[in-house]
Amino acid sequence: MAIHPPSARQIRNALQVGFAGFLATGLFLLAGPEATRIDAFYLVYGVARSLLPTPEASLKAARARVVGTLFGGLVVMMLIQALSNWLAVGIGYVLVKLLGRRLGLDQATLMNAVLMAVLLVAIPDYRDLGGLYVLYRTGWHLVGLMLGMAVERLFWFTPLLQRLERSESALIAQLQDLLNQEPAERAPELISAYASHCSLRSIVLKSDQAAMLGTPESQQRQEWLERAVRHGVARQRVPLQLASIDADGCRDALRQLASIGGVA
Amino acid sequence: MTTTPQLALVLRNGLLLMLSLAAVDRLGLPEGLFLALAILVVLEADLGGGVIAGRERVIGSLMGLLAVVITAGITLILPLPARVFSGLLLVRLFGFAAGLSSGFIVGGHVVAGSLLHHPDNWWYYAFWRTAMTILGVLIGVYISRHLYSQRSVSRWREQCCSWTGDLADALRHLNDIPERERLFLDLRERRNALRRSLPQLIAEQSVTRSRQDSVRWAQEVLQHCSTVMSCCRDLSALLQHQPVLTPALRESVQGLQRLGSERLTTLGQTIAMQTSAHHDAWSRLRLALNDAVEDLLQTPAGTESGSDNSEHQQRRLLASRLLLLSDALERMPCSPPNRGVAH
Repeated sequence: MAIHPPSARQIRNALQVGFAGFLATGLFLLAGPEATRIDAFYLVYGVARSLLPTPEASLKAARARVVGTLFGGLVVMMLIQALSNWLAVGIGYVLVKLLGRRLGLDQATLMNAVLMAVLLVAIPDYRDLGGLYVLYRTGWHLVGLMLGMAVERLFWFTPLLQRLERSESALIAQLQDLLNQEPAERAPELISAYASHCSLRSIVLKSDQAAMLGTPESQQRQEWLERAVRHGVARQRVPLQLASIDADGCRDALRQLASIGGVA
Repeated sequence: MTTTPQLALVLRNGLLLMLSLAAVDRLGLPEGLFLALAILVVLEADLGGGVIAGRERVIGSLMGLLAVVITAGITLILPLPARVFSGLLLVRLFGFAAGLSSGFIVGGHVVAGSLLHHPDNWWYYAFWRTAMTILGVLIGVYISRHLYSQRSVSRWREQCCSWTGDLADALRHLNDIPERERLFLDLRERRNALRRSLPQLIAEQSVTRSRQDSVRWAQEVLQHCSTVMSCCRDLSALLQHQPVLTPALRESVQGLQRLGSERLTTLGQTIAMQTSAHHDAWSRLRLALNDAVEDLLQTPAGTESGSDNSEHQQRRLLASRLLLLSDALERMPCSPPNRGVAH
């Protein structure tokens, strides 16, 4: 297993998680033993599940946990009225999967639903609590997840558009760096970087900031960037004697990109 | 995946989950619930995906155990919130250092469960939770490999065949592609999805220890087919602006389209499909193409200097893409290794 020294961004993320955990534990202690008697440690479970590499990933994971826990709890709560032995786990699993897919729930949500089903059936204390346990587990998780997402927004938060601009700048720097070197079959890294940039752009296009990318300048920027990447990738692939065509094409596209305004 | 295998998989996993929980209960294993959950996490995906999920879970749990030992052992004098701060901070740092992408979540759960839910017997809880997770992942991988095994490589090849089939179609109809940009955007998205699935193939090969190198085959296919895709996109635009081709060049381009699309279509088939007649036709085409491209580059320019330069650039670009396309098609691997892998 290779050891990678954590980046500055990862260290900041670790500090954020630690701080959110600190707040959650403070809340846990403040609430007192009466309020926290039903598994309030799930508060910190929620924190540990938040603050993922991007705010979108954190939100998606939070939604999957909350919806999945409620859905799995609901299905198994009805099932254990009729069946309370090991058979209920298998039947509960199958029901959760089939019903969940029919309802269009994603894999992460279904996994959380199955987890809830297993806990309800396999642990007698939880089975006895029934619906109350489902509500407490969901509630504590929800508070923890919200605390995590609040800390995510409070410290070192980078708005979506700014992330896209940084991604574009990094891509341009990568292209310029490659232009200053001899072609060396480095097309895959450029393809990966551009794919990441495009997926970030598609997130912005789905957000309330989509209008910022709809201006003619922004669309032109994207077209020139695309052209620069196409030539940059081709330059890594073509025979050496023909590489200058794509080098010129890439430089020209980057020059055009530098001369126009608009948002990345 | 069609409906029947999906249902069969759900039934397999439901049955195994039930049996594993019953066995854990009967044997009275400490923190045995985590054994059943680890088995399930592995079985939820195909073999390659299960190996990755299992590895994340195992390393994440180990990192969680380490963070708990440090936090609970060394910082015993600190108040509980400070201990949780230290535990979660350490687990993320260890997780990032180990290259985890999601396993640090499980590590955080080990920390939370140990410090808040089992403060008096944290060592027992954290140790047995981790041990049961490791055991569960090992059992899960064994089952995933031997019982109604779903192989990442089979799914990958299926998606790859569909992609190369559409690529062959695009090459065949290079001069007449409706909604060209949209088609190539779709092909690029599908290529990116295949690239993202490569880690599953690598993980799967690490446990099957297959002598047939499916990963290398997949990487080569992606590399050369990506080049074919880019060339098709550029050529379809260039050929629209370059209506006058010499007869020799036109014939070579048509030959390249025909033989190239055949090669792409037969990519997923056995090596026997690649006959010696095909190889001869390919060699003749390469020679003819090289001559035609040389003629194209030596064709005298027009009269106006500005358009001369642009026309010359277009010709050079056309020549570059044609040579690149023929080179990529020639270097493309013929057939996938070990066609008879389990699904």
